Amino acid sequence: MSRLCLAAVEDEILFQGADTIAAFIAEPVLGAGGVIVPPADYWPKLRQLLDRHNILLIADEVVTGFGRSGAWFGSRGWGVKPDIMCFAKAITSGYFPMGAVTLNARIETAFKNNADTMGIISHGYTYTGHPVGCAAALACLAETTRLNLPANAATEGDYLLGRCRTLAEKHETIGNVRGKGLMFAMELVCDRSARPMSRSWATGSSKRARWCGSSAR
Amino acid sequence: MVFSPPLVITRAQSDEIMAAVTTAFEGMRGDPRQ
Repeated sequence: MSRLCLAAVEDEILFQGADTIAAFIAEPVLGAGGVIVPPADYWPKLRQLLDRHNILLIADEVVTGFGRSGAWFGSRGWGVKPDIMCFAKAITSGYFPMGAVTLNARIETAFKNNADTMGIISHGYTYTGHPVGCAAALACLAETTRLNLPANAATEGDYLLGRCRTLAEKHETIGNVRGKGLMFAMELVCDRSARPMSRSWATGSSKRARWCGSSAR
Repeated sequence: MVFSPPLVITRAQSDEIMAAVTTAFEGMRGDPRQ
């Protein structure tokens, strides 16, 4: 799977022309798209592929950052150092809306060494560097460190994933269980040979779950 | 079905979640359109 995905990425790079591509951006684990966990060697080999073509790697760590995937950052969990990482969500644990971007030395140097008007980061927002947001982030990151939450996510994540897989063995309506750290997906199906679930089954299952005291979407 | 419990979750809370999920699936046996 990893080889096929990387071949598709390289085909697109060659088709577009590497010199026309500024960067490749991806989530270390696809979140809202259905918790799609890539093979363990995908990100390391993706990094190598992009380096060969001199293309920057941007990790969207909004979901996976600060412990969710069982490591401090999803990309670092795959053993990869991106050029740019963007954050939100767990940087303040949701107590205050805040986002952040980090750059490695390569990117920082490019900005520093370019003194003309094209070399500045020419964007800003009304609430950029909001002190309350920054205070919330510092407090939350201190707690994340103190409680070692990435490790807890890894431990409890493995446990819950195991429990979900055991449940899947009993129920034909669970077509697939996947996850990493404390992010999971259970794919509900009519039967395992007829994926995906039809709309009527999805609606019916949601109603049944609600009737049983759970909310599913 | 996607879920992402809090990072501070304890083993007891994990078990509580799985108990609720298990109950839900037990209730969904058969054709849910019925």
